[in-house]
Amino acid sequence: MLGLFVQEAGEHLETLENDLVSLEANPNDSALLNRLFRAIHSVKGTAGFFGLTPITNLAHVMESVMALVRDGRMAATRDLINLFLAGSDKLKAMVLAPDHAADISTLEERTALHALLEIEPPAHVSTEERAGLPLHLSAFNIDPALVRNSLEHGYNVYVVRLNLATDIEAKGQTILDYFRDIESLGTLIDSATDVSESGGLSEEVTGKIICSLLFSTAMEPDLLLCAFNLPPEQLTEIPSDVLRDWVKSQPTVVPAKSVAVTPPAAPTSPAAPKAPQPAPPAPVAYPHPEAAPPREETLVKAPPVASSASPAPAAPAAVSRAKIDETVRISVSLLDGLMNLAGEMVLGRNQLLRIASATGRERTLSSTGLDGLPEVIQGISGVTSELQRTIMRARLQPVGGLFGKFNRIMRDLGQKLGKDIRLETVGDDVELDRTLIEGLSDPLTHLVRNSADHGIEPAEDRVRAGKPAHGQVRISAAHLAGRVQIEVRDDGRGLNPEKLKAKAVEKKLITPEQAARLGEQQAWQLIFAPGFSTAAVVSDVSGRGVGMDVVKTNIERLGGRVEIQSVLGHGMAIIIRLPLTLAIIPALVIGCGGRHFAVPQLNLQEIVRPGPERPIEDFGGSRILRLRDELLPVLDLTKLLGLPDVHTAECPGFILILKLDDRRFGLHVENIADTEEIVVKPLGRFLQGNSFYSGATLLGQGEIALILDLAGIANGRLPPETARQATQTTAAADSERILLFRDGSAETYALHIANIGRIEKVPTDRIERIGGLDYLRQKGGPTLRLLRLHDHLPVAHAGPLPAEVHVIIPRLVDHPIAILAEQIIDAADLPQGALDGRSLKAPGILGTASVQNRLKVVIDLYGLLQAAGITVATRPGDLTQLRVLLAEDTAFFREAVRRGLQGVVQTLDLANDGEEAWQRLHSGHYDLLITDLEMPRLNGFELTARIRGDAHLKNLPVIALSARDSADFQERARVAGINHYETKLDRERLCKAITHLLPDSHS
Amino acid sequence: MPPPAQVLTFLTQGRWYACDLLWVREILRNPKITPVDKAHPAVRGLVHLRGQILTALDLDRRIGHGSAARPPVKRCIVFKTATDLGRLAVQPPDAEAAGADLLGIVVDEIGDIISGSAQVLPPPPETLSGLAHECIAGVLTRPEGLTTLLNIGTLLTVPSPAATPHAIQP
Repeated sequence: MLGLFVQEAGEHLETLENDLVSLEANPNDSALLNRLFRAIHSVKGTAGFFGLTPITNLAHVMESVMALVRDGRMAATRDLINLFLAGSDKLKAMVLAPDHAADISTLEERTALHALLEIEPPAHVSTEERAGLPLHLSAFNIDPALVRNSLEHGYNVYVVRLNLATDIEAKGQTILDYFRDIESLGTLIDSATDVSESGGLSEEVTGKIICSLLFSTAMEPDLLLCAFNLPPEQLTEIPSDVLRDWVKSQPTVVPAKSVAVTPPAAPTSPAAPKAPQPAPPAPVAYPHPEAAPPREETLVKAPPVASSASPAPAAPAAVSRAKIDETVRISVSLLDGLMNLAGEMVLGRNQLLRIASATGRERTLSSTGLDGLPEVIQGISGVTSELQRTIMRARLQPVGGLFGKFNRIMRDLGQKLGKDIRLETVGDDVELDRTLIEGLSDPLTHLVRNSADHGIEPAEDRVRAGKPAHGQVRISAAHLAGRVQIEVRDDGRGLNPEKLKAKAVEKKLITPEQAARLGEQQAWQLIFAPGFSTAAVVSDVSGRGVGMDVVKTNIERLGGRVEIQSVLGHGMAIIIRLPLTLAIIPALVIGCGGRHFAVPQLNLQEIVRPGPERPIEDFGGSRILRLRDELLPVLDLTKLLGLPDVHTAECPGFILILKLDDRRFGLHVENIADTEEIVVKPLGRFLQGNSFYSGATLLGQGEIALILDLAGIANGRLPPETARQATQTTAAADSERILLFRDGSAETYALHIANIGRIEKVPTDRIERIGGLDYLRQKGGPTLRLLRLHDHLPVAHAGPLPAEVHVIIPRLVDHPIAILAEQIIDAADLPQGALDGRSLKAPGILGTASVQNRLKVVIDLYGLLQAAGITVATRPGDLTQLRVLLAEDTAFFREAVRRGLQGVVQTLDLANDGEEAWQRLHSGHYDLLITDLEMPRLNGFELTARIRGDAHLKNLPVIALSARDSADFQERARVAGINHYETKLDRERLCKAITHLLPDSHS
Repeated sequence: MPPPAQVLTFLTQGRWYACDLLWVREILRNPKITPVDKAHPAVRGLVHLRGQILTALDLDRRIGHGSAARPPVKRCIVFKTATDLGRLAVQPPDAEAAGADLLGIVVDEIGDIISGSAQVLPPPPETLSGLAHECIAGVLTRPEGLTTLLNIGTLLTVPSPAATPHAIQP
């Protein structure tokens, strides 16, 4: 029972701490003040139940002072909040070790608080205070104000005696519940427990503890007994004249100094700063640079500014907190048990489905009298999946609890470093698996400390740089594409690539030659190198040797990825992307040497079959696969695990191409079984620390598969130089990858990878032809309109379909459509300049390209949609007067955008890179610039920055197009002054964006 | 450590062993074992037990009887987890070794449950037995022959590499 007190009081103190920090920003928020008061009051009350006098004493005086603040009779100054925080720390320490609470001295805090109340410290008062009271009241520590108040209202005052075990616990209540109940009936003036006889508070003796409550209520004794469900002998009414006499003898409590002035900084208080700090600086007026209004605007607008003095933002927080309170506490082991049972249920369901389908095939169902069976099984199947999902959701917790603790950390850091830093948290109610939340705590703390210490500059530097004097750190969480994105962003100095390089060279992490070759982004990555710390002076705040490398490792261990973005002089952000849960992951199940293994899909890029045209070669002792001009090291799983070698010419096996941060490598396996959503189960103690496996799982039929730990397998087994090589190739591959497929004719088609959402294999019998159009029925999804290329494009007619076909489901298209592909051939790179837009001209076709020595027809997705009569959004606004410049280094995208805007705008001029665009902007007049972000010579960010700094061009609207749909790029684009960010190849949205950006363009 | 009130005896590789009955959760007959390659030498494999995954240990290898042979698994004694033990009124003295993970040992044959009366002799010196001494609590004399009483808590604790000089590397 005491354990429950520790937990619940701990939570009260947690909210207390957060609320105290927010109080500093909103000193007049009455909802906040009420909550603070109640939190202290609850701690005091429940501690009283257990007779934890040291806790009660401190909480009591904190409560009294808080009451003055709440009633507006004392101001919540910084010093006062410091004092409360110090008190809250002591309370926390005492709550954590209730048996040793008396060993913790709270005299300093109490003296300081009592000084504010202008009454003597408790030691002197207690005797006087209790004088004149009946003996049975002497155990209570009575606040005269409360008694006076109840006398004024004509309330009755009672002493209620409770046996914790029989009166509360035996009725299935917790002390906290009970406390809430009585608080709804009246006011608890004080509670006292005599533990001197029982000798301690361990679990065994709580049964004997008798607790007395001094309680004031309007209720009559018989009603109260009824409400408390107690026998009459446990209730004693205190005659009101006894109390009245006693109250008269008490001094009236007044605030130390009259209304709303700074209370004297208590010299004994350890938490009070040595010198009184000046009030937080008023908004510093700094010269607004005239030159760059758009940038100014984005900077001010973008980070939703932390709630300053307005109390409004506190209201939703209060509401959400109240919602969270309506929960039931259940133990994690119970949840895990439920999860296991649900897993069992899934296995049973699968077996049932198998039996049913086997029986169904033999058409014996009706003869056995089981004709309703398939429907019933289907019902059970649905319920089972839903059950598993629901239990998974129960494991999720809002990140707000984790974020909350940073308020205090940031406040303390700010004071220690002498910087005024405001912390803003966004997305507190985003939910994450609890294991992830636990795992995130340390990395986030490190990042927040880094931001405060290294990121945010001293106030004078900030003002000089034209920034607000106070620094801003924002921690945010959001759901993004099935993952959770957590960001720590500051508006500090940003990463300086040159400094990072110099530091890395100095620390001998890289050679000067290597440093010279590093680009900006690669230089940022240096902060993740082990042994790298950028603080010029190692402070006790951060830079303690354990650094960003540990953060990165920890995040990766959670299945997450870390990204950096930074704008020199404007701030930086660390972006963490995490899976929603660690408990269920999509995986590829493979077979090897008679065993089953699971490989997380997250790391899987493609699967290839080695053969004569793709041999695995021996290269200086390591096995290498040549894949599209990239050399990949190949590890053989059978050899790694010491299994007998099975790969022969007849049975070449498969090579999984895996990506691990910036490394790509192949894993040679015997066969591929299935893809499956697997429930990850931790390994037992004898298998922990094993570098081959990260967990285990149960497959559909109940057999066990080990989950391969790819990082562990790759570690130390890959030749180091392949890492760099791989990054270069993948970076190049991002922009110009195409998918080659056949439609049943001799023609091979190519579709840009950026156009493709996913590819599915479907049985042909799910395709239906209705009214001359093909449709694909999907299980549990919308019916897709299926496009066959020869119906809409002037290409060779395809023959009848095989039993199974592929469908390509495009991305960034609002319509439920799919393109039929009889056969998927390969993914390939479209070499620069390979696209020939002249020899084959037709709507829906971009042109032809020679890839792998054969001509392919390159499909224009949006042209195809139009040719198929799929209406592409509403007609964009009248843009026909617009003169547009397009800066794009990739011929393919240049052509795609040109076609998309042809006939929509008046002129569309093309520039091959940023530098050329810059020249053209000066020679001609344009209404709009559409630019790629990654270009040689001058990239889109720099180009825009130049435009924003140019007297004539500074107001030119700029739309950025990028193949990367990443928040990181969007943010950099915004900071650079780009008005709108759009993903490449989405014509509809591009037109909408132009219309939106230039509403009056025709005038 | 007082001798357990009740012990379960079992036979493996021709030798008799006993363990505190309080530790025993259940006994599996002919369990299907999934082998784990490159694992700790004492690990025989994994067993699917009603939605949970159990690590089955090879008793002989765990205590240092270095038989290279791995005969088919006939029985598996499943030990209680921390949660299971927490439900008991009386806990075995080494209960703190239990964790959340399910562990078991594979044996050939299950013997009897013996209550109280058996005499427990101190274990023989390590140099004589050549066994991982810390896993052995004592020796019971029984009509069937000498029976080694195991310390289940120690047995289930992963030994540090130095502590298993007798474990055979595969």
